[in-house]
Amino acid sequence: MEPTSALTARYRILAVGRAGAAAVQPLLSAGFIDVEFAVLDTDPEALAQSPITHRVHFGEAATFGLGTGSDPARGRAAAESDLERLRPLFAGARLIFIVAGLGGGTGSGATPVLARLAREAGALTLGVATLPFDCEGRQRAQHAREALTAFRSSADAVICVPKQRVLAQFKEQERPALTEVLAAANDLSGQSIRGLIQLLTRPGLMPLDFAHLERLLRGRHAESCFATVETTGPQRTRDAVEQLLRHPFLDRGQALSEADAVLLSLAAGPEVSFTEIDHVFTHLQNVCERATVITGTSIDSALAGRLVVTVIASRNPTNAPSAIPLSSEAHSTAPQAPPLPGSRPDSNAALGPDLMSAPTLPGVPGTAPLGGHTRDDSSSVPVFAGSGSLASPSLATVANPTVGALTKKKIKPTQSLLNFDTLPNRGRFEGLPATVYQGEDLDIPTYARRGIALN
Amino acid sequence: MFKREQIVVGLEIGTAKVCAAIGIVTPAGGLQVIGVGSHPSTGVRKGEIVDLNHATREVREAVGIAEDAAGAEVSSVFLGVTGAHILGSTNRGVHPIASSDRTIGPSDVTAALSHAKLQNLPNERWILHHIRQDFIVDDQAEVKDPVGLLGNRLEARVHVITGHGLRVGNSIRALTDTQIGIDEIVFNGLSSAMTTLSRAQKDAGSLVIDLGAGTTEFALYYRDILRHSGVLAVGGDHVTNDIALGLRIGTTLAESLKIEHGGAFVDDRCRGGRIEVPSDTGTPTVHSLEHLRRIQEARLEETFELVAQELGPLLQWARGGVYLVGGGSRTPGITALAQRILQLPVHLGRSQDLSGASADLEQPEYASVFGLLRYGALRLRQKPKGFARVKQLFQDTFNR
Repeated sequence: MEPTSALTARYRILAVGRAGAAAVQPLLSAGFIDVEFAVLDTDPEALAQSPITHRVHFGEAATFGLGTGSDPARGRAAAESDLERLRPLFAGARLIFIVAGLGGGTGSGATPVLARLAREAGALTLGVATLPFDCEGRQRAQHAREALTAFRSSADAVICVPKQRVLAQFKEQERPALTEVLAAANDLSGQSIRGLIQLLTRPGLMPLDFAHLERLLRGRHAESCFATVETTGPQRTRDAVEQLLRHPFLDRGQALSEADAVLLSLAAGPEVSFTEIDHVFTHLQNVCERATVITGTSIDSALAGRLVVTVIASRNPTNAPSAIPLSSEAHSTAPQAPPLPGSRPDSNAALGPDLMSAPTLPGVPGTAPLGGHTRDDSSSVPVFAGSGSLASPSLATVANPTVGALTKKKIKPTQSLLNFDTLPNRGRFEGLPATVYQGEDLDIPTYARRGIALN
Repeated sequence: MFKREQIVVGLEIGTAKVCAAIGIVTPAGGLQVIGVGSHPSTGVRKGEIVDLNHATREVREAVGIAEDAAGAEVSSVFLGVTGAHILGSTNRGVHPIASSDRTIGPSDVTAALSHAKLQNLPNERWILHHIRQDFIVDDQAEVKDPVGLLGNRLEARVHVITGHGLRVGNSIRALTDTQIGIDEIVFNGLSSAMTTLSRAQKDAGSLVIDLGAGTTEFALYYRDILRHSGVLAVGGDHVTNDIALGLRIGTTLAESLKIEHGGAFVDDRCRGGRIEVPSDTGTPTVHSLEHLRRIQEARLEETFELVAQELGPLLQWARGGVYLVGGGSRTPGITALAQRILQLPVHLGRSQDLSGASADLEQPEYASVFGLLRYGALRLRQKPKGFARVKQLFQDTFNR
């Protein structure tokens, strides 16, 4: 087969498999600058349905043009068999998003290979992966988990969108429509890409921020979570912070306090005031004191009266529980939102009304534009860029040691899932049949199984 | 030099070493070791062969060294086997006495024994040993020889040691290219116990634990009867592997640190202790002695706990003492640790009643290969001269 025609844009969004194609669909009309889309699949029929013009059918030799039948091994083989054809997709790119739904065949199997190719081509590689609903079955969940581990280790960072947590947004609805739920899940993965690309492509911001993004993510192999909120009305900054801190994707704020790299992006209409931006960033940075934070702000006349805050938090995969939900209960049983983890007494006092005691205002209270703000009506003006560019010295990029102790206290004592990645491996017994005695793998060091601390 | 009948050879394809020992049975019934050959093993993991070519080559080496030392040629060996697939279980076989006067005859005993032996035996498992324990005549237990007694019902208790046929077959495969025949296949745990325990110790109740590199075998005797035996696929390799992972060092360094600085528990002297390892760059790397010991202690402690768990209430029969053999028994402080876990007197085991010039006689690592010699010597005594049919040997009752 012929090599695929090369892409030329610096930012590329590659949709892999059916779920990937669906996830990028809402982005096609966003009108990004310097961004190209391509859709990759093993199934020519699925490919033909995609509105994206740059279509790549790969793995014909491995799958006989029939798709992978939800077999990740076949998806992987398909990508491996067509490496040379796929390479032109990656050459010359600065940032590549690989968007896929994990759990099936093409998405789970091919994405780690594609991410490897992207990194080999020198691009910063970000994965955006949706994880299956619980009801899709154990096998898919297992495939997704394995694929995520592989994806994470080959990409610079992977943003996870667990679809099951999308359901949490529909809690109040008794019978959410299937199409609505799926659209919301796709929308979320789209939003994370949109947030990042807007941050990068708005004129004036890009050079500095790409460098920062790269420093933040390059080679970390982190698993990231992503959340975005949009608020309006006079309380919009408070609402935004509050909604973020109890966002199901951020583990109700815990992801922020445990994160070691956070990207905060704020977009608002031209009426936005400095105090508003200060409020949002100060509060959020107080939560993620341990993290390296980069912030970006942009003004867009299309957002008149609205405030959009996007957070991408990466935690080190070796010491944090995985974001992969093993069961939905963990996030849906808490009847009341826990106290917000990020409210330091001093910062609350400084910022007027105590955030913790503020009444919860669910939903969006009207769309009345703020009066009294007269500003230049240029369509898109960067206000802040770079890390720690806000005035307050406490917003320095890395937490200072004195506040580290405070942060520790704030982490809720939750029972996290045992992450098997963190156990030492089986060393020289790797690959041999495990010595399982009453459910314990005796080849794993005793000290590790018994939790004997070595320090 | 020697007549073939007198020579007995033991061969153990172990995880750490392949070891051959050649002995001669003296006319008085004693056993003299005349040659020992040992070669580091690379083709075995957890007691089972994973690389047949390496294993075969190392068997040739070890047997060659032993042959040179003994000045004798090896034609066949008693082959020791181990591995997680080997199971020891005590079966009961019941036989109703049919004769009109209810006298128990030899055929009744054979029938009861064979019922016990073949009980619950899946097709793929081979019987390595079946060792008569005792008989129960009606309600009377602990009968040693029921022939001639009166009763309605004869029950035989037999300890059967079985192995997975294909995995035992792998050990046999290692010898097929070497022109060395196999007299018998012997479970290492049994052979270690045979050379370590005297008859008096077996009678008083003793447990032998062979702490090998790949596996840990155990055999429990009480009133001169083998009560239980088994194997755990955990050994010195696991200790080394734990140290390598815990201290983030290579396996070779971990092994040498274990040998030089290892110990069975953390004592006050090693708290905060440091081990300096010279490196090529000049600045030595430093490791924590306390961590090394703690890792080792955790693994050894667990190993003894697992043995205790396997034996369950039978452990109390080992009041005569626990004897540790195998390379792991060289760990400083191991007897104290075992005593703490098992709550029984613990000693280091030594091969008994061996004569010979070799310096290896007292080494705990060689217990199982010398045990093979002892097993072989016993077999030679029992064997009718001229024809040695393994099948017939299996039918012999073997009760030592």
